[in-house]
Amino acid sequence: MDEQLRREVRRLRRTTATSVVLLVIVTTSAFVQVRLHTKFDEIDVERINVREPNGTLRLTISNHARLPEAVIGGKTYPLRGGSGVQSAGLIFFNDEGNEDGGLVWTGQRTPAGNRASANLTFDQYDQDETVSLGYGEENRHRQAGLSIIDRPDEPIQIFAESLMVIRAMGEGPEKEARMRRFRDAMMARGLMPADRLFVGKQLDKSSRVTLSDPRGRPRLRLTVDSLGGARIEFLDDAGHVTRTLTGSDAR
Amino acid sequence: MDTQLRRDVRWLKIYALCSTAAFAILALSAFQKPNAAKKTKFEEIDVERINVVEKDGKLRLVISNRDRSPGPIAYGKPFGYAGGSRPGMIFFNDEGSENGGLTFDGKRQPNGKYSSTVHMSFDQYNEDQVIVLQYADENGHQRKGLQISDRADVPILEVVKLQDSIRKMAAGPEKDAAMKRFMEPRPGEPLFAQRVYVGRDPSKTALVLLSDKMGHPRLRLSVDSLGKASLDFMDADGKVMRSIGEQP
Repeated sequence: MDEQLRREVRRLRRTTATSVVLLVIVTTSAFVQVRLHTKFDEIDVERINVREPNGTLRLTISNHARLPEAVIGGKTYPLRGGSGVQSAGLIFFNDEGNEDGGLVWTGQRTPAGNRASANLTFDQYDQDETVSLGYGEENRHRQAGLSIIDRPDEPIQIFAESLMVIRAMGEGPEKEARMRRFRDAMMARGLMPADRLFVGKQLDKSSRVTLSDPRGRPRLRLTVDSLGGARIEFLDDAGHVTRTLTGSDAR
Repeated sequence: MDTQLRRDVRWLKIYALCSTAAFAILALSAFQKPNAAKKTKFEEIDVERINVVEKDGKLRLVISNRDRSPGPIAYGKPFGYAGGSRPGMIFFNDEGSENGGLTFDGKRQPNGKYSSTVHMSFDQYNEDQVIVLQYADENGHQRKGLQISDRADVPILEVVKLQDSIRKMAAGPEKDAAMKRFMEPRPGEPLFAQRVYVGRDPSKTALVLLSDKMGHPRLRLSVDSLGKASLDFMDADGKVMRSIGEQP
């Protein structure tokens, strides 16, 4: 009897040990498998973060509420809010985790009519958008096209830092004056963006190809206006048309 | 004493049975595909890669970080070069062949110089990119704009195979001749010909360039870095035949 009991206990011990080891292995491997590669038919999310193995953000896909704030020089700047635009979409980040573009869209009725836009933008390194394919409309005034923009070589951090300081000020004439001074200073130092090229349709219902100089002044313009008038115009640096070519020109 | 032992063993038996059952249930549920047939809802998830696949498993879209990004894939099979260099999104057609992408990267090197590229492209069927919207920047040396191109009607797999075989040849006149033949137009069309470029080039010129089917620019609208505007017609050798400027 005692012998029988002892044997049973031994067997039990063995069984328990084996089953525990086995199940720990099985459970662990099951969970590890889930971590490596999971399959879903369909998922609903508010935001997806695609990250590098070290955690650096590479891409976010999100609704408006979870759209990330601008990340510049590794620092987050709450600059996106304020305009009332409720964009959702994709924000791209470079190898350093700084924002370098996006694909965002929005559209809504407003008390005055409607507001909608969709934009694919590529940002200059440590700067703002330099290539932009976009559509925008406000109360049926529509614009759509491709824009190429030159940006200053200076990193945008300087701009963002100053803007944060001004934004933190109380509303009033002092804040407005400070904002104006800031803009003027940027302009004087040549730190303003310059449109270099636009191909698309404009608010005045013209279709256009506009080439501009490095200070953003249109110098060569191809237009078919809302009445069907076609022309090629050369402009000087003050915006005066110096030469016009049309279909009725004698060769 | 004996009764005590017997009771203990009984309890042990019950314990073993229960724990085994519990473990088995746990393990089985861990293996189960989470909500396989249903929609799953997350507030926010972190991933390194997402594959959007068709019912039969064919890739339709890969969204990934740099490390897990795929190299070129045609008919579900990798070719060309290894993955790991294209963070962003890669698109695939109904046959599981790559047909476009949207990628973005950029960083400063230890020497202080940076390079940065943001790129979206659409590929010709079984070929390479024919529409490219791109910003490419080598430490301030920028090219950014939209490019529309022609590609020869030769499957990319054949092109890559041929190119690889030439690369493997020993250096010498034979290899040079083979490379020259490779680059030459076949049935009257080059492997690649830029037809339209709209953008800004590294000389800081705003540019609209229309080219012939051999890729030679024939009509150019430009405003250079000094603000000089010009509309030029060119012949196939690049010689300006007529130039229209600001002054008549």
